Amino acid sequence: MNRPRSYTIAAVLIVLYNVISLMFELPNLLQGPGEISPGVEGPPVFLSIINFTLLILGLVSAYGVWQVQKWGVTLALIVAALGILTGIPAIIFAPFLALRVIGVIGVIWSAAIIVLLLRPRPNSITA
Amino acid sequence: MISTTPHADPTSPQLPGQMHRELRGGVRLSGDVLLSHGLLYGILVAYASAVYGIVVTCGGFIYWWTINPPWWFTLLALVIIVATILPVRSWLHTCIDRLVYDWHDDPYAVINELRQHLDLEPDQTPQTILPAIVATIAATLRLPYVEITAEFGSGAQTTTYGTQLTQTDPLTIPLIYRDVQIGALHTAGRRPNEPLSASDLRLLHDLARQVGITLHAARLSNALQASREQLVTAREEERRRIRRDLHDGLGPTLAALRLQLGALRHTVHDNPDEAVRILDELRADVRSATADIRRLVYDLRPPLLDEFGLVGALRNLELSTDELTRTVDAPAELPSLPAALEVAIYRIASEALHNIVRHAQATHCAINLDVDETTATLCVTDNGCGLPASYLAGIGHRSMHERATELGGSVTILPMLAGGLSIIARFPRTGAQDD
Repeated sequence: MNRPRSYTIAAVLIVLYNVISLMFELPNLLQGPGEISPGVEGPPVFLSIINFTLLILGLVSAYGVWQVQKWGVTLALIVAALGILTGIPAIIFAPFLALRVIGVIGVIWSAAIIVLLLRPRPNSITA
Repeated sequence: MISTTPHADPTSPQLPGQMHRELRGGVRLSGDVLLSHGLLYGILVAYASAVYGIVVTCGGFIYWWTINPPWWFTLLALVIIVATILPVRSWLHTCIDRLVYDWHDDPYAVINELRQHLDLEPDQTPQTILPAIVATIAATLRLPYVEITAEFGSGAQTTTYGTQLTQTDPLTIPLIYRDVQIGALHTAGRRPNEPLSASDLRLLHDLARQVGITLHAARLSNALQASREQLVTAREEERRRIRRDLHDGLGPTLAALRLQLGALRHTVHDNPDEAVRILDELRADVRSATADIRRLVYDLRPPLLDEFGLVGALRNLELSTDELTRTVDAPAELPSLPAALEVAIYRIASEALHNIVRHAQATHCAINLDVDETTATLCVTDNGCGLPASYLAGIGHRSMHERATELGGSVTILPMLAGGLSIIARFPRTGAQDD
């Protein structure tokens, strides 16, 4: 198997992003709805569940990308696109600027993953 | 969508129902098309959202860490999105199409799919397998145009799927089996000005090898069928000839004998002289009938073969001249050969000697018979004048070739350096022994 370097970087980025996000998302999911600071409501539970599902799918897709599988790349693209789409409300409706910045970083991260996955020509791949 | 041009047989092949459905839906509404469009527009929406979110957040930075920047930041985001959406869409379209269509996870799956489609064909004739092959290649590689031209015994046949798009590079891959080109696979790129990828080319070459083997098998199948028909025809011709000989030759002779015997019965007491004359006629007729039977039997199998064996028969081959000397070189212990092989060797040697006597002006000829475990080789060499410059194969040479070919052998005619000719007939022994 001859893995393009961009796929290796993309797989590492996906794993890093998803593991870090899981560390923040898991307490939210276990804690349930509540205030993240006095007077400020946290994200709804369904959003946390969607995020959690996307993160798990992201890890699965990272394995597929690492193995240079077409399904892995496709799944990673879908998850990254959904990551951007779910990250936009977090940016727009974030109560603090710090949260908004974190959201922007997440969006840029996902965009970078998309670019890395679409960059290599498949003809350089011998799967 | 598929057109077949059999040069010999203009009947259009019918595509199996399953294949037909796949062709109709394979290119326009396949899962790959849906995936390609879904990814393209999903990522485009994500891109527009990302640009909007990032620009608005940057506005927040610029305006003293405020959450709600001025309205014109939203306008700026919209302008950036409108200005870049088309180039981004074009780039994404190319990248996603390449990902979806050009990436073959498992080339063997494609080859296996081709085999499965071919297995569905009830009879493996060129008329049925060529449409199946072009359809499978076009459907599995999502190629808009595939054409195969193949040579069969009955002539060249061309089968085409789709049409070549304008501004696409044509590609021709020879279909080869054991260094022999059987046909050619023609195709072209999926999109204008975009040649097929290296992985596509690798896969097409792998498929071409499989197609070459398949077409070779179909050719063999065709040849076998033709050979069977020739065999049946030859058998019927032989029966008709024997029947004609018996009916027109021996039958009337025996009937005449019966009549003469009846006349003899009446005259033997009253007219002995007449009886003697009839007896003389009877004797001549019986001799004629015996000669007819001998000729009939000789045509079936030369009696010399049973009388002297193959080597002895070659030594005793009758020559119509005394000016030609002959030597026969053969193994002392000739292994047992099939009857058909013995007859073929004998007939070819006989024909060769006949030609030498008639045309070669030779004084000596050598018959060499060599038999090993795999091959029986007959070589007839003379010291005559050889072949004329304007030589055209006559009935005799064609007959020798046919006799050899019937048993899977071959005949080679070589001029000798010192003058004269050498006729070499080679026969495989394994197939002959199996018979």
